[in-house]
Amino acid sequence: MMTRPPDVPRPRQTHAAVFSLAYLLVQLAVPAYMLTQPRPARFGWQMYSAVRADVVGGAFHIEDARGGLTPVDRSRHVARARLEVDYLEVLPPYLCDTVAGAAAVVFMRGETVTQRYPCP
Amino acid sequence: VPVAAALDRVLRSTTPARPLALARIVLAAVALAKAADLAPVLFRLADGGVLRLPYGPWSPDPSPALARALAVVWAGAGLAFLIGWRTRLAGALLVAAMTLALAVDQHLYSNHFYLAILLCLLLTVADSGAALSADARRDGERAMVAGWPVVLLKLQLSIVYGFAVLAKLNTYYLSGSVLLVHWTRQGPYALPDPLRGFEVLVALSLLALLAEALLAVGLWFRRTRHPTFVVGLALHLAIIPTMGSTWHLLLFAAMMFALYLLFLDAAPRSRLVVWDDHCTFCRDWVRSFRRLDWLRVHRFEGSSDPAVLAGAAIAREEADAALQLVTTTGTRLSGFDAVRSILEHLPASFLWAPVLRLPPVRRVGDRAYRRVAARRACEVPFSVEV
Repeated sequence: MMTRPPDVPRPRQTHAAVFSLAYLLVQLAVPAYMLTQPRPARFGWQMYSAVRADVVGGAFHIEDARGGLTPVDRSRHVARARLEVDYLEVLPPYLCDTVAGAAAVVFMRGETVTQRYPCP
Repeated sequence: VPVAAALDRVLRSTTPARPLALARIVLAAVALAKAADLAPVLFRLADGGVLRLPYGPWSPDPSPALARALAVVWAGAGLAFLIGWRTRLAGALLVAAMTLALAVDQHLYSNHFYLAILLCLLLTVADSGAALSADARRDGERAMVAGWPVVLLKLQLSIVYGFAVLAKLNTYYLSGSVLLVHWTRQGPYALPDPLRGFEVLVALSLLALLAEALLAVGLWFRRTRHPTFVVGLALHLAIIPTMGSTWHLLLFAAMMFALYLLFLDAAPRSRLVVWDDHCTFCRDWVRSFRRLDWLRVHRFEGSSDPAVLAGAAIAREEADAALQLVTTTGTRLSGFDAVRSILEHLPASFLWAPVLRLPPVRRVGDRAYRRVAARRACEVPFSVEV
C-alpha cells in the first residue's frame, strides 16, 4: 500500500512534517488534558462516558415573589441542550435576567429543592 | 533516530487515491447533513431570545447576516467538496465555515461535528480530489497520492476510539449508569425490564469498552483488521437505534466507516481474479463484482487465456473447478474463500464480509459454492467482455 512509484511528486516534506507533528500534538494533548476535567468535556472524545448526574432527573423552576413555582421549559431558553454544558451554573443567571417577575431559580429533583439561585 | 526514520518513511509514502476519494464523498455528505442539522440552531442563536454561551470574547457574534453567510458558504462548499470540484478550495471553505460556526457558541458543539471538521481538514490537505471527482474528470485521475495525510486520518480514528475508552474508565460508566440513562425507553429497541439489572448493564458497558479498545488498535494489523471491521459495524449498529440520538449516531458511524476504508489493502489492480469466462453464471457474478469494485483493486482475467494461467501459476483444472484469486501478498484463494476475500475488499461489503470466515458459515458457503459451480451453465463465447 505504501509504495512509491517514480511518477508521484514528493510532498513538501518539511511542511508536511511540521503539520503532522503539530496536528498529532494537539490531538493527543487536548483530549489528555480533558481527561482531568469534569466529564463529559468538549474536544476530548468522551462520548457516552458520563452524564451530569446533578441534572438528570431534575427540572428548573421559576420562583416568584410570593414563593409560587412555575416549571421552566428548557427548550424555550436553550437552542440545543448539550451534555457538556453545566446548566446548573449558567441557566439560573440567564433566567433571572430574562423572565419577568423571577425572584429565584430553583432546581428540583422530584419534590426536593437541590439548588436555589436568588435573583439579584 | 528510529522515530525520524519512520517519519521520513511516512512522508515519502504514497497511498491509493480511491479510498481517500470515497472518504471525501462520505465526509462531504456528512458535512451537508450537519449543515441541515445545525443551521436552525445557528439561526435561533442569531435571532436572540435563547441562552448564549460564547467560548470567549473572541467568539463571533451570531448575527442573522453571519448565520446566512455561513449557511450559504457551508452548503455551497460542501456540495463542491462532494463532487470534487476545485476540491482543495472547496474543502478549505467548508472547513472555515464549519469552524466559524463551531466557534460561535458552545451549543453548536458536538463530538460528531468536531470530528467532521477535523476529517474535512485532513481530506483537504490530502489529495482527496485526485479520483472520483470533477477535478479528476478534467485533469485525469491519479491512482496514487501522498500517504502522510492518510496516516493522520487513520491515527485520528485510533485517537477517537482510544480516548473514548480512557474517558469510560470510571466507576460511573462501568456501573452501567450511563447506558441506563441514555438507552431509549420506548419502541422496539428499549431495554426490557428484566435486562435492566446491574449485571447486564455492567456486562454491556464492558463489552462496548472492549469493542472500542479493539477498534483503536485492531485495524492497524493485517491479521485482526477484517474481524475488527465486523466489531466496528456491530458496535455502531448497536448504538444507532438504542442510544437515543439515531440521526447523529448514523452520521458518526458513516464518518468512522469512511475511515475504516483507508485501512483496506487497496493498491490499484493488485489482486488478480481468474474466472471461467465460458460460464454465463460466472459472467453475471464477475460483472457484479466489477461494478462494485469502486476502489479498482481487482484485475479480472478470463481463464481461457493460457498466458493468464501461466502468469499466475494456476493449473487449467483448478481454474475450471473454481474462481481463483491471487492476493496482494501472493496468497492464492479459490472458490468460496476467493469470493469472500473479494467481498472483503469491496466498499459495499467489506464491513460484513469477514463474517463469512466463521467456520459454520464457511462450511455452508463452501458446500453451496461447490454445488453451484458443478451445475453452472457454460454458454458464453470466448469474445464476450464483462
